[in-house]
Amino acid sequence: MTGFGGYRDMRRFSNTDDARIERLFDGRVSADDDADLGQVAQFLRDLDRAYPEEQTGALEASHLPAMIEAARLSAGHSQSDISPAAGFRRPAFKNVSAHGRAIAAFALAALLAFGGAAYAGVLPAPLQHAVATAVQAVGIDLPNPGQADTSHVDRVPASKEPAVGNGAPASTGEVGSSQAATGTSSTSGTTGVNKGGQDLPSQSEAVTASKGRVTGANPSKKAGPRAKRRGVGARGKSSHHGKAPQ
Amino acid sequence: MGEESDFQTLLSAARGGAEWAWTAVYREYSPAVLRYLRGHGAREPEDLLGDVFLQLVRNLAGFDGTERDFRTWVFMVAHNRLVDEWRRAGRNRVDYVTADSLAAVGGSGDLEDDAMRRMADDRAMAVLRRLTPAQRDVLFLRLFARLTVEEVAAVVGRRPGAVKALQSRALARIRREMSKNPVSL
Repeated sequence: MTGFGGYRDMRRFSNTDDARIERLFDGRVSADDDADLGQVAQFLRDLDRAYPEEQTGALEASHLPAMIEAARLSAGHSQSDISPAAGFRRPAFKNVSAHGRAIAAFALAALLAFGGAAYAGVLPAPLQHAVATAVQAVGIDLPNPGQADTSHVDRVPASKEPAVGNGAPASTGEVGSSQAATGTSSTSGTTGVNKGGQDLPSQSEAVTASKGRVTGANPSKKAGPRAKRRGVGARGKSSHHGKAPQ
Repeated sequence: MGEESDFQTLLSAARGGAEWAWTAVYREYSPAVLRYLRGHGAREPEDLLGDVFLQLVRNLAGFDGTERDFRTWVFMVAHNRLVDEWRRAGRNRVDYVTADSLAAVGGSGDLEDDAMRRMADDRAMAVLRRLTPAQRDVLFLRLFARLTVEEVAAVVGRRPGAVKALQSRALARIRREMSKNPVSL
């Protein structure tokens, strides 16, 4: 559109030395001094006048207070952003810790007091229930008369774990064991239990899955996203076929 | 050297939230920043100016450099705020060089002189419209912010060579447009 004239003009300014250009922007070029840059200098003067540097005193009154407040906040944060946070977290941590210690102490006392009797499950039913519930908090399973059927189902996988966990991932072992607990055939088991249990990382979650299986809730459950990612479904089946019967 | 150490003192005080330091920073840079924002036809240049300085306050802890570096950084923040505004405006973005965006220049009292000024301003606007946004940006940063080619390159995120090329094209374009319609004051 501009033809070769435009290109020539551009070449002319490309070849213009930097000092001349700097003089141009500093307003030290006039049409008399430099015919080539004179008109451009005129334009820059027009532009300079069209957009004069305004005094910002009126704006200062509204902008500065906000800036100074923000600056003081920033400065305050940088000086003390460790101590308040630590001060805030510590009591919460202390509370949780104290709570945990109380439960552990009670469980330990109960275990020491009733020891072998509780382990054998020969205590009176309410007492056995109370002790079993208390020590369950610290991960010890004792016969609990309050959870007759399901506790039995839950305990089976636990006892099978060592046999299943032969170099297999923990979750695979749990899948196998929970399926063994249900006593279903391997094919139907993988469809129902595996889907529910494949992405169970811990024993407590496996217990929940087993319960779901017992009540018939789990078979409709779809495989979790983690199981899908890892493709545990296929592995779960094969490992299950080999290990569950044990 | 003394000036540079004064600047470092100012910077340190500003980091600590000293009112005098931020007042000094604001008075030093706000007129040029406001001019730059107006030149680009920002819709609310005064509000945008406030945003720019708040951003400077928030990010000052991460700044380290000389007074020239600070000036460059101030305009980098202003440039980024403008780009944000343009992005927000999206397709509704209007041509940002309008006669309304001219700062209110009081009349001289001489009718003829005022008329000539108005013509010169109109011509300046017409020439500006012929430039690409990138060329205008380079021009404003060179003229209003008084930045060097290297500093402009840092602000707009291009290489100095690219900025020089933009500058050459802009000047060539201006020269051609001015030749078409000369107005002498």
